[in-house]
Amino acid sequence: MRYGMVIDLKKCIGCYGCQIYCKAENATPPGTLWSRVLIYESGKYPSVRKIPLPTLCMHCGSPACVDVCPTGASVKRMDGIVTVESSKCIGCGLCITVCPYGARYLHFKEQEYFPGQGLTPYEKAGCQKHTAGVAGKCDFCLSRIEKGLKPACVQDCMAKARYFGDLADPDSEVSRLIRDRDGYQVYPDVFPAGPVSGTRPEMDPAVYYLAP
Amino acid sequence: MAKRKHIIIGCGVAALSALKKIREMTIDDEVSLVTMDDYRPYSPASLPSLLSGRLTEACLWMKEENYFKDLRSTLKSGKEVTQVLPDRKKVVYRDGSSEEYDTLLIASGSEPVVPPIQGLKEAGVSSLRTLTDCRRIIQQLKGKNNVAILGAGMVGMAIAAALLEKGYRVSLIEKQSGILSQYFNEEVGDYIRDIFTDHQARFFMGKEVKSIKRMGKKLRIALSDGSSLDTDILINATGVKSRVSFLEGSGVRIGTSGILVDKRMRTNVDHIYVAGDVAEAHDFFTGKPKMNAIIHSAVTQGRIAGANMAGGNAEYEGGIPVMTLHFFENQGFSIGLTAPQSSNGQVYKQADDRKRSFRKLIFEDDRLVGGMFLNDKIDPGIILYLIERRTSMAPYKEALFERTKPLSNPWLSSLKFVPNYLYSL
Repeated sequence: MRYGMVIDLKKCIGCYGCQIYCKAENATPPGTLWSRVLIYESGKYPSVRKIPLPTLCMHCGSPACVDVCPTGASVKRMDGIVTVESSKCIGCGLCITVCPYGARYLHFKEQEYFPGQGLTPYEKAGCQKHTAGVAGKCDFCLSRIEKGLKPACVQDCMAKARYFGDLADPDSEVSRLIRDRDGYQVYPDVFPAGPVSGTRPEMDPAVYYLAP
Repeated sequence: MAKRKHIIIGCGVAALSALKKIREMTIDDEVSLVTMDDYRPYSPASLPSLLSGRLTEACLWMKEENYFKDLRSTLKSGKEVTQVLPDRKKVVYRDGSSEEYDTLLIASGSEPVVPPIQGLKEAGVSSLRTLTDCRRIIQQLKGKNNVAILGAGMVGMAIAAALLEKGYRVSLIEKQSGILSQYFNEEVGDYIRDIFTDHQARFFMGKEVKSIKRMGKKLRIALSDGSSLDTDILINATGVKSRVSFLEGSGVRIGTSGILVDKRMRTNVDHIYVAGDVAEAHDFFTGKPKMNAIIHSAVTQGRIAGANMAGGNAEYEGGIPVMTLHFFENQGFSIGLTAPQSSNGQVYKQADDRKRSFRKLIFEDDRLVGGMFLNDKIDPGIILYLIERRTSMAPYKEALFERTKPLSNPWLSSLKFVPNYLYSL
């Protein structure tokens, strides 16, 4: 069992919905975006193209964030999801510094959406997951998966551009999509030339993209 | 492929990283980790959090109990290596026993530098490097109020932050004129020091300790400028040096601060590799040997050494200084160079004295070589990545300086998030 996600860039319309649904589901503090949409420009005038690129924690197969954690708070579960055990996290910030996807967040001051007015009940309910001084990140909506649901960004995408499933199962929807549509992973070094060496960490993200 | 036997001296982050990499590449090779400690693997970096009470001892252990068994390896505790015999491919332990290996990884780490100050040992001054040290200091602190710390570097400042949070009165004595001078210079070093001072820390900068004398329950510390200060307890945090004493007579070449290695983390002896604090590998920017005793280097070096030990072909790109510092709700990052090396350097800087926020980017030949931030919204992972990959940032420098978080186009294209060949425009 290895949970993974496929994002179809052909279908993605850059509506930023996933960014908002994630926030609604997880009540992330202001400035923290577990699910983000980046806009990628390519080509030269007059043939220019803008491509929306939704990103999130890649739940890498070989996560750098887990390797550098001095207390072992950052763990990779058997099902592939990378989480942070908040009781063990000392907020050293090393995991933030080695994640090349910018997927991790660490804040020290309590942040409110309405400064000076205190936390709304909604923020209070959600903020248990976002302790100041503890690293936080996308957890593939663990509480939803445990109930048999899909992560919020997958469930609510209005273009139905996101898929979620078991990468280890060759017959799952995500595995078939990757095979049939040449799904690729977003490495810091996409398709490094030459033989794979130990120099560039092969992060092996669990999030695949289908070409736009 | 014949089954190889690897012995790893040490069980810190470098050793664990090597073990993981070896197992990613082969399940047949035998791997044993030997450590002189009796504890399960932990990192000294988490000890200040134990001091401050943020962590309990149970939270220190980096891996689950069955981790080594799951990885088909063994961890032997309480086994201190006292000799290495490369001709016979053997290590000798303190208890007199010995063990043969095919390849050896030395990841014995570093130990505190204890300055030769008159009266230091008699005063019972402790460093903070091991769990034993930490337990001793916690006992010594009971019922005391005043703490003096020798050294305002990485470890000294972390200890100071931990103890100030617990309400102790902390004084720091530092030889250099600035704190954390290796990582934070100019205004940002001053901001950090001011924030600590706001929290009741006292700094004695540019001064050395001449002698320490016990005066009843107190310690009198005499400084080089003739002044003195009294304190209840003194903690040594003057720096670390590689743990190499067991290599005497082995023929393994040692540099100024650690064991010398080539780009494959190999010593002058073919089958002996090194990773972590004990290694003196080359610097990313200069190519010259330089100690870089931080966790990030240890993990990377462990991975490279492990890959090569398992028959792979990996090369280390060189050490990059990385420091993260959090203290009293403030957050600082220093990644890479703190100043340009050449006259081609370009520095973008922004400092806010009132908010005590700071942002600095250093470019050389259009490549990012350093970033320094305090209380600023940045993506340090992206900064480190851009430095490591030597990405050409020619059209993107201003954009990066203006918005380092969240990721923004136009410099997003420098990250190659989408392979070029997929666009036929």
